[in-house]
Amino acid sequence: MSSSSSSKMIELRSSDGETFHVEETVVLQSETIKQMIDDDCANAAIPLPNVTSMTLAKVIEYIKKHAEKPKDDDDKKVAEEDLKKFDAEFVKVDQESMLFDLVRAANYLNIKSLLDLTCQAVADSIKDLSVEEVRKKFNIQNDFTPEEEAKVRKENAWAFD
Amino acid sequence: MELVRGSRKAFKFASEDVISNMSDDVITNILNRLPLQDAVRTCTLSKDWRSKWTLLNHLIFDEDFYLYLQATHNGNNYGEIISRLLPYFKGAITKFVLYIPGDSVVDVEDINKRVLFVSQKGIQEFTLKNMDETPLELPAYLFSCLKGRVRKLQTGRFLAGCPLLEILKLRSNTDGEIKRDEIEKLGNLKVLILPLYELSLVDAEKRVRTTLSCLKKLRLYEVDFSNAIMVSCVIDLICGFPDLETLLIKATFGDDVPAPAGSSSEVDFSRVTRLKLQKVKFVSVKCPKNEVCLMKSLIACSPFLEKMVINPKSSKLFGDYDGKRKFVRELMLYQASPIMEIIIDSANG
Repeated sequence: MSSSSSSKMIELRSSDGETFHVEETVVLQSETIKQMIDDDCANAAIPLPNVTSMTLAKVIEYIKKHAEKPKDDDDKKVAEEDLKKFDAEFVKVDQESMLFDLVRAANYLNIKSLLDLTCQAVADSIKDLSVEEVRKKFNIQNDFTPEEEAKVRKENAWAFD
Repeated sequence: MELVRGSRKAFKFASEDVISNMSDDVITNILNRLPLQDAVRTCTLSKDWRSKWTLLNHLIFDEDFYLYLQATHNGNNYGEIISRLLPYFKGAITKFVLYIPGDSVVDVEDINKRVLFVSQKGIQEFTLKNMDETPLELPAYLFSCLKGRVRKLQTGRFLAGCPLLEILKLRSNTDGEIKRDEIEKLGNLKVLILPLYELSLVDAEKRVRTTLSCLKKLRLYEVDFSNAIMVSCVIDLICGFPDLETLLIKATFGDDVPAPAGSSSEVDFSRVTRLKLQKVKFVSVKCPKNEVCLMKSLIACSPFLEKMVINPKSSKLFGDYDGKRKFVRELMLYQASPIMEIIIDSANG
């Protein structure tokens, strides 16, 4: 935990009206919120109309973990390993939609490491799937006619073997 | 926990398309992380997805991509597919990897065109891996076009005029092609990986040295300790990088020709200046006189040294435990750093 007990608390309000209190040093990982604080817009609760309370709780769990500072060099290696494990567990979410909510939240809040982590998880989840499987997974409506689809496929035939 | 929890609501419907309404930036971020063929395949998901793959910022034509094409098309169309794909990419290309397989006929003209193409698109990380026997003669102007923060260049031919390069890894068969002053022009270089036979030794002694202060990591391969000029050159390189922190020196693997009598005295180890080295590793150690002298000099001139790892070529080099201890004690006599340790690692010796 951060040693500075005097750290200022910032209040965040999710789209469904819940409030969360987070230390300023932790929340600064979000470039979007950092900008708001710099612009002096953070005196009242910061409204986050694009982030639900369930997603925001997850995001806060992530930035809190990533704000922990190792004390010395030996500790650093252990902490790095620990953080890797945490990240791997963090993206194992029950519902696919939660992962996308996190991607969206990370993008909106501009937390680069979380965006990279969640985008990697999405990429990993579709890496070895066929086009049909990807459609099914993400509920993508195929609006091609069979002729159109065959034509598009032919344009890049090398990728479909 | 200072979380204030309220009621939870279900806000997702099973039938919702969860990915297509993401911003292009996010979709590109995801596609950048897929193998190229997987990213291109998304063009048939739906009309909306038809050209999303052309927003890719990372173009990775690496060995895996080559092997994929080889498995499906015997790899014959590798060059053709790359040339055909490139014009499609509309956005910035920040990362570019081009693998040139060893068994193919390299069309230099074609490669030049590709490099020129990406050089104008905000490139940050550029990797060229040439496995072909023939060194690539890339015109220098191409590399002066690489205006971005080019991070990584892995190539057979050294190319000057790329002042923003941060990582340079050289491997090829172009013996003695590289001049040290070419390397010294790379003011932003942080990591240098260099087989020593690449370096032109002709002008090694008469030149005035300049320094590269960004360089933190240096790996020198194929160091022939029986060659006094080469060892002098190693010293010059090490001292030319005043902020160097990590150093790896790997001796030639074959048995050195016994040095002619008196030749080892040609190396002036007193030229080693004060260094900031923290970690040093000697690999394939056989302990000729020059090698041991270099170890001692580095230990004596590195007050911040934390660890020196010695990886002998043969596990029998130091004999038994006592032999190892005696060798370590001998080196420790030169100790300048209060915290340094010496580890003899015979595991893969």
